[in-house]
Amino acid sequence: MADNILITYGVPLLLLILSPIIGGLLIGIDRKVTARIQNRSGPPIVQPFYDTFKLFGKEDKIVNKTYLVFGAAYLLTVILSLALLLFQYDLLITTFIFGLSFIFLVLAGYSTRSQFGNVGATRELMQMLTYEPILLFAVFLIRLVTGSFEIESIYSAAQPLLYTLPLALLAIFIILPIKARKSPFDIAEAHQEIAQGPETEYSGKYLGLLLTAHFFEMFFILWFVSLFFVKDVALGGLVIPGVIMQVLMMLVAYVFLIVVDNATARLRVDQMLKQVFIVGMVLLIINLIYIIVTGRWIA
Amino acid sequence: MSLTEISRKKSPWVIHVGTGGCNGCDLEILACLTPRYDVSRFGVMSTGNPKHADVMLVVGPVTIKYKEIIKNLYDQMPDPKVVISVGTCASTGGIYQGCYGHCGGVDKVVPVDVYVPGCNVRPEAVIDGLVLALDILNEKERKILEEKKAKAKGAA
Ligand code: SF4
Repeated sequence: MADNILITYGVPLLLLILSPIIGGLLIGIDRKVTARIQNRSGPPIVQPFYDTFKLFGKEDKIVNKTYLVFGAAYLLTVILSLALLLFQYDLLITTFIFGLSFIFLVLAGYSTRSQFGNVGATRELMQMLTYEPILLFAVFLIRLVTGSFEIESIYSAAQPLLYTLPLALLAIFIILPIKARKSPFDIAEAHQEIAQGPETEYSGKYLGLLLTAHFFEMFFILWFVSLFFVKDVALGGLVIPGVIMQVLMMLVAYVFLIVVDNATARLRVDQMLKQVFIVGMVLLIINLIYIIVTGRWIA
Repeated sequence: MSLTEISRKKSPWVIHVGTGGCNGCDLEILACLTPRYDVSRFGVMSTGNPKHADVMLVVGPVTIKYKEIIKNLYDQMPDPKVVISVGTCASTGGIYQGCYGHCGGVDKVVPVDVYVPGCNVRPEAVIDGLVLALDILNEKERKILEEKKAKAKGAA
């Protein structure tokens, strides 16, 4: 029994504590790889941590108190959603709380007087409009296949989700760059056109908090993708444990993010809305029809 | 050296301000970002946002219309901050010396910490200036802290 408690609560807790470090390192490796692809030598892998520590040692220029509250709320909701995901709570609530964190960022952008912040917040809102329906639809499909919104049921399902929901995974891959704030969908943060979007007015410690939130976010989205393959799989005589498959899934998503980030240019908001929405929805609907026709759904 | 001071040396975020030169030095600064010179290996990130920046690179003599703007930008940067004047005309006025539309070098408007000479500057010189500026950042922060302490003592 004691062993069980250690596994069900200890491992998620450890992951939650390590997740900013893992997320930061992943972002650092991403920057390094991007630089190598462009034939530069690039910053060291621990660069995101240098940036964060530096920001904590800088003076804060505070514009008003509202957006500080929203910034802190953004960090807390991201941590909360990651905790819910790791402790295997309700998947629907987890995605809603993750969406809420984006809303806090939007409100933070609107609560400053800067036009960069306002434009950035509007764009962030459009991005939410694009990815949220697709994400919720995908979660709904997961519910249909596993019979429950609890994440536990994904672990106890007969087949890994990848076999039943391949197209839903593809749709999630399409919205992945939106959630990771990467090209071609780094529209809200387009720092060449609108400074930094909603983050424009943050400085010092508070910008450091936002950076930390991004570390958590990175880990969240990779973990979310990895839920699609959590079962042990037998290859010939070899049994690969589910944990390794999960890490592999995270790796695939991570490499996908880097490649897409480097291979594409930023889209306009309306282009993103049309393309992502149509492609994502069509993929999900085909997957829904496939599930219903083959009778894999559980009421 | 504390962790913050090490990090401060490793991650200067740069804002690049062109105030009305011939754009020769602007191009050389952009060349610093290319694979050949790559300043990003020092952790340099180019931002367009003064609120995130530590280092301001000023190019060109300050035109009278730009005077207010550059002051405004300087005031928006959070401490500790350094200003690097890049190019001869940013440092002294250069070939624009005595021209009616200019008010001379950058140091007439905001305090300058590092002067990088050259018309136009070599990218190596810009990198050299940046490395010099990184030492100044920590010194400045120490000075600000000391002043704060002295003020607190005076108040108590
Ligand atoms: S220093 Fe010379 S090259 Fe540089 S901006 Fe001034 S005039 Fe142009």
